[in-house]
Amino acid sequence: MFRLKEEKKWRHTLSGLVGLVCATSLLLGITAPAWALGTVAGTVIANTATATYTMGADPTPQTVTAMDSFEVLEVINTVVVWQDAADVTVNTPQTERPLTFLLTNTGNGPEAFTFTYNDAMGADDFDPIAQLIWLESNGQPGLQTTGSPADSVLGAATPDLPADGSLLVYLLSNIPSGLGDGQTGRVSLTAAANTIGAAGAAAGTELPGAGLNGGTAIVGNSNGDSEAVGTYVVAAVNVQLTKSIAAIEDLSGGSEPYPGARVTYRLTVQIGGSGAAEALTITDTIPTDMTYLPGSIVLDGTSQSDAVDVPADQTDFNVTSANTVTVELENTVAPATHTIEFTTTIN
Amino acid sequence: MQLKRAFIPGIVIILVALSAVWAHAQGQVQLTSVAEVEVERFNQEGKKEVQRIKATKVLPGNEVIFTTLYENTGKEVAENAVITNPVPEHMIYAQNSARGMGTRITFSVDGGKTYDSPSKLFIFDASGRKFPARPQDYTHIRWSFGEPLPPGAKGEVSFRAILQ
Repeated sequence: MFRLKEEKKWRHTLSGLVGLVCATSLLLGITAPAWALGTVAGTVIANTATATYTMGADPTPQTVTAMDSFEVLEVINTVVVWQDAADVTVNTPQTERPLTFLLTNTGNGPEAFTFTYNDAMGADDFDPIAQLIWLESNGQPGLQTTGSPADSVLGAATPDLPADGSLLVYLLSNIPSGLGDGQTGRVSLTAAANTIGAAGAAAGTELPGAGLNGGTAIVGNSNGDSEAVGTYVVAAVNVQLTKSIAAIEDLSGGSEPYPGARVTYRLTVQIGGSGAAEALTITDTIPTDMTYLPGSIVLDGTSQSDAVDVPADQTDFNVTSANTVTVELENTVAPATHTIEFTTTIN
Repeated sequence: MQLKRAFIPGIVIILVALSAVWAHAQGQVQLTSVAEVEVERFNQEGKKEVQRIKATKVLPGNEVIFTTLYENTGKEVAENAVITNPVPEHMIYAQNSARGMGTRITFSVDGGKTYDSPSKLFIFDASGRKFPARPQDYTHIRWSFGEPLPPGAKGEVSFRAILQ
């Protein structure tokens, strides 16, 4: 006898929150500390010593210099840090939700990176299904998959990152359906140095010919790769509606459902889980053998009018839908409970 | 290798000296600078020992030993001899590492304008507050010889610094 309108809308309520999370991550990206090993590979360090002295009676200083130099060796190092300020909220199901990571080349030479991910991790409640990787490239906060310019889908590898250079990386996953509120799913992203032999090598491994200008590169403490884990959390709202008879008043002062008796119905709306039920509308059509008692709608203990007069009140009868009580609860943040009562007369 | 390296600047100095004061060309001090790193190696007895090898390629974070060899190859006494060495760019002076027999070692924190001993060196922040200088503030090292260098006198001064 009643139905929930625009059910689908609740499932897409969190886009505003997502935007906020992404903006926060960008700020984090900018303020991320630099881990890089200082001096850029290939830099020539020259040391010059100068001696001055005088001879005999001549006060003119004599000067002689000597110099020696060496080159800074290339170190391959990287770090990946998950950037989202908190677990990324998702609906169930949802497609291509991004986790944001910051890749930093903490080596001292230019390096490109490739990625792998693991979306079947333990210590969580569900497995997201990782889809693809985007790279921040258009200079606008957050991921833009459309527009001009949009960000870029990862090719075979990232462009060369200079020493100390960073890149925001978006790993997009699909979220399965049927998950419960608060359930978490973890995905790890691993960046590996593109230099052959670097990824997974022991710290200190020498890679002859792999360094800048054909020199030797040394694998740093990150072993040529770095992994970070991001977490999704399901923020599902659920709405429960129960209908009951609050009271029956018959014409003789009793409570029997004879013709002419007034029956007051109570609808209890419980919004549970997390997030918000958006554009939540409750409707209840009056049965054919009953007649609505005008002006009888009560929402959370307050009498309402039968006209459509939002925002004065959020209810109407026989306006939005014929012979139907309509209650516009609009955007309701969980948890919340609303009680609707109205009265009918038995014909 | 060290001799060759020293020889070329030596020739330059000779030519400069020739065009200036010929007499003094015979009383010159020769300098050789060498950068080395320490490595652990096994010696012939199979024991691990620290050896110094010429620095060619150095990893950030590693320490380099800079040694300046001097010799008065002329026939006259060199007086008021001073060796000055800026701390190379991208390097930080390693505390208490400067050595030099018969010299007074002082440091500069102002790009070589003034020199003093470590306890008398200070730096100032943007608001003018005064702080004791730290080794990473040192810009130059100076070895001042207490005695004149007679013909044939030779020796070395050195310091260590860490590659950033």
